[in-house]
Amino acid sequence: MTPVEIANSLPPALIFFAGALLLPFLPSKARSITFIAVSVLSFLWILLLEEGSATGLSFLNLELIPFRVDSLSIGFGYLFSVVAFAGGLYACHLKSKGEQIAALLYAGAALGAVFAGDLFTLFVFWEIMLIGSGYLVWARKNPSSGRAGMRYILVHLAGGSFLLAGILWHLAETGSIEFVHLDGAPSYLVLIGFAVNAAIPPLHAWLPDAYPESTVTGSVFLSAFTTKVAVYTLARGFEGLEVLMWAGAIMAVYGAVFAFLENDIRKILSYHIISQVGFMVAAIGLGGQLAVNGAVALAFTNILYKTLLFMSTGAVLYATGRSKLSDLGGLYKSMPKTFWLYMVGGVSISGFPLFAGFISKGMVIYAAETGPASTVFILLLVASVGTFLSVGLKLPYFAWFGKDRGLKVESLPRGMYAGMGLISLLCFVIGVFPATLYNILPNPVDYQAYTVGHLWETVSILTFTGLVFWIMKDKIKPKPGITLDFDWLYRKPAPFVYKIFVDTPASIFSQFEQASYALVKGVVRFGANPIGWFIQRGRQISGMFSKTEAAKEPYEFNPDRYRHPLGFMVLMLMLGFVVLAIIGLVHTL
Amino acid sequence: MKVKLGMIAAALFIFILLDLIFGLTHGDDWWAEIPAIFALVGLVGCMGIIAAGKLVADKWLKRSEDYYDPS
Repeated sequence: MTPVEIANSLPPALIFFAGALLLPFLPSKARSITFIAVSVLSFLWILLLEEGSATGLSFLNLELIPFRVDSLSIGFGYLFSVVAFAGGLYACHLKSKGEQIAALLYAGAALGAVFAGDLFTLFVFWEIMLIGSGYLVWARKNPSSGRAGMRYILVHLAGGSFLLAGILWHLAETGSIEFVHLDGAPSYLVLIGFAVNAAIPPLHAWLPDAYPESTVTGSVFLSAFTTKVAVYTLARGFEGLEVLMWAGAIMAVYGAVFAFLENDIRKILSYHIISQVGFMVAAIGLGGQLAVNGAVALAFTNILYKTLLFMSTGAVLYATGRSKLSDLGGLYKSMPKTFWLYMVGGVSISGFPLFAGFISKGMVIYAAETGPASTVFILLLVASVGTFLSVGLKLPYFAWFGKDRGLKVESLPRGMYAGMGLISLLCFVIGVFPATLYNILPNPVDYQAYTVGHLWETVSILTFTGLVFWIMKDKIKPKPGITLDFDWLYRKPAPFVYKIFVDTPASIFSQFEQASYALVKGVVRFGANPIGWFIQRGRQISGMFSKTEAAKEPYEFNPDRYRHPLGFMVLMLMLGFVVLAIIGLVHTL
Repeated sequence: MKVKLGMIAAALFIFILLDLIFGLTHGDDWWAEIPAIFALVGLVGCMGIIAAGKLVADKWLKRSEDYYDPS
C-alpha cells in the first residue's frame, strides 16, 4: 500500500490518540513539541485525503463506517488540526501532563467525529470528547472548577444518553446506522443530543458555566471543538429543518444579550460562542448550498477568532490573575501587544471588512436576507450589534482602558504570543483573500463578500453601535455579580434534590444498618450462652424489686460458671439414642 | 449629553442622505425602502440591548458572586 492509500483508509484521529499514549513517557520539554508535531502531521494527513474514501468494519452484526471522507468533513478536518496546532503553540509553556493528554484526546475525538461515517462511531468519539473536555474543565483544580466540571459531565452524559437512545431507535426503525440526513421520530432524540453540544437554549447553560472555570489553556481548546462538532453533525443530519432556523436566530440574540450582562471576560466570550453558533444553526435551518457554506465558513473563521479571543483574555488572566471586568482597567500601558492581538479577534467577530468575520458571517446574513423569513435576518443583524457592543467595545474598553487599577502584570511566555500571532495572521489573510476559505467549503461558492451593499450594511451597523456605546459608556460600567440563566433550574434546587434523593435514603439506610447490627449483636450474645443470658435477665428483673444494694450491683457474667461438663453432653446423646431405640421398637411392633 | 445626541442625529442625517443619493441599501423587502435602515438597526438594536440589560436583567437576573456557593 502506498502512503496515500494508507492515509485514505485510517482516520487521522489515530495520530492524536497515538500522541496521547506516547506523551506520558516523554520528558517535560519534549511533550509540547510532540503536541505540535502531532497537529502538523494530522494536517499533512488530511491533505492526502481524497473525497469518497471510506473504510468499513463489521462489529456486532453492524456494518460500521468508522472513516469516511467527503467535502463537509474534510473542511472541518483542516480546521481542527490548525486549531490544535495554534493551541499547542499557545500552550507551549504548559507542564501539566494531564492537560496535554486531555487536549490531544479531545482534539483527536473531534477529528474522529467529523470523519465518522456511521452513528455508532460518532457516538464513541462524542463520548471520548466528553472525557477530554471534562478533564480540561477540572484541570484548574479548585473547588469551583470541580463543581462546574461535574455539572458539565452530568449535562453531557444526559445529552449523550438522548443521542444513544435516538441512534438505537433509528437503527431499529430503519436497519441502517449510516450517518446521513435524518428524519422521523427517532431523529428528534438524536437532535436533542446534538442540541446539547451545540448549546442551543435552553440546553446551553453548561457552556458559560464550565468554560470560564477551565485553565487559561484549557478554555482555548474547549472553545474550539465541542460546539463546532455539533454544528457539523447538525449540518449533516438536519440541514433545512425550519425549527433550527428560528432556534439559531433566537440563540444568536440570546447569547449577545447575556454577553453584554456579564462581568467575567471569559463568560462574555462563552456567551458569544452561543451567539455565533446561533448564526451557524440558523444557516443550517435555512438550508441550501449558500447557507450551509455560510455555516461552515462561519464555523471555520469563528474557531479562529474565538480561539484568539480566548487566548488574549486568557493572557490577561495569566498576567494579572483577574478575569472580572470590574477588577480590570488600564492594562494598555502594560499589555499593548495583547490588546492589539485581542482587537484582531474583536473586529473579526464583529465582521469588520478585511477580517475573517466579514466574509463568513456576511454569507450567513445574506442567506437569511434572501431566505423565507425577514425576522431571522433582523434578529441576526441585532445579534451582530450585540457582538460588536460587548466583544468589540465594552470588553476591550474596560479591560485595557477605563479606570487604571495599577495592576501588576506578569510577562507572558513567548509561545502565547506565537499562538495569538499565527491566528491573527490567519484572520487577516482569510479576510483579505476569501478564496482561501471558500475553496474548502462543501458546496461551490457563488457569493461576493465585498459588495457595496454589504459594506454599507456593515459600516452603518458598526458606526451606530459605536456611537451609542460612546454615549452610554459611563452608564454601562461593569459591576460585580453574576446573571442568572437556565442553569438556575438545576443548580438552585440541587441541595434540596440532594437532600431528598441522597441524604434521606442514606440516613434511612444507616438507621436500618444500626438496627440490624444491634439485632445481630443480641442474637450472637444470646446464642453464645443462652443460659447465661437468661440468668442475667433474671437478675436484672429481680434487681428491680430487690431493695438490697448487692442486687443492684451490675452483674459480671462469667461464662465458665455456666459452661456444662462434657458428661452432660454425653448423657443427652445417650438419651437421644434411647428415645430413637424406643421409637424404632414401637415402629417394629 | 446634548452635544453627543446632536452628533448621533447628525451622523444619522448623513447616512440617510448618502443612502438617498447613492441608493446603497439593496433588497426586495419592505424594509429596504427605509433610508439608512441598517444605521437604524445599529442605533435601535444597541439601545435595545442596553435597555434590556439595565431595565430587565439588572432588576431580575443579577445576583451576588457567591449566589451559588455552597452554604
